[in-house]
Amino acid sequence: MTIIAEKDRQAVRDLLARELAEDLELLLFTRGRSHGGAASGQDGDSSEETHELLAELAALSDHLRLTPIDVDADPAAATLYNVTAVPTVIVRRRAAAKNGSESDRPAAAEAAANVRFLGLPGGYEFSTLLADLVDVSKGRTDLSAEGRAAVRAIDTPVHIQVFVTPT
Amino acid sequence: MAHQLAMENPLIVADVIEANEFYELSERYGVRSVPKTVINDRVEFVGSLPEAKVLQALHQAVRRDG
Repeated sequence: MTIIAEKDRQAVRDLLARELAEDLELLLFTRGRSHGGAASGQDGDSSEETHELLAELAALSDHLRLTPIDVDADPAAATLYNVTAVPTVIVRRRAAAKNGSESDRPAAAEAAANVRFLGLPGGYEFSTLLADLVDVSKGRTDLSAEGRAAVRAIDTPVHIQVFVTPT
Repeated sequence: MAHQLAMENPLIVADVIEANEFYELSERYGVRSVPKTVINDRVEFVGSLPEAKVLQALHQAVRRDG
């Protein structure tokens, strides 16, 4: 199955090559495939499709790495990242530590893991995802200077939920 | 813009939620048109607002005196 159309693929590859400044990680939380097709194919669960989409996307840039996490096999990770639904996608910077060993770092939230998608980031939301990749990678946003200062001054936890539809 | 707010402050978690896929959640928050934004279960608005309005909503949501 191919999700990112062939004609879009090169454009996305070019965008990522041009715009990504830092390495990024896409954390994908899904529920185990161990119990097979019927059981995991609950209504409206786009986990498989999301996995495919992100795998295709990650293949378009050396700066991207996809880290799939099965919340059944690794409930501690779901707790750590406060993931309560699948599929959940988190976009974050891959922690620097270029000289350290990358593979055996604990799955701690070293980099902020607060930019999230619940459900398939397809259709219009795919554009949002691409924009997020660029922004997180560059560590910059379009907010005004005052706006940025006001947002940074907030010192209590905030949970923003934005409901969207793909088209 | 929600994601941009999260990028500016690690205390802000921003979820972009596919409403059809998470139907029950959407029902719970009375989502009838999109985009609908809910902040800390306290403040909500529909549509894409300019930055100043979004920040206003954000501050309303974190104000301690309710």
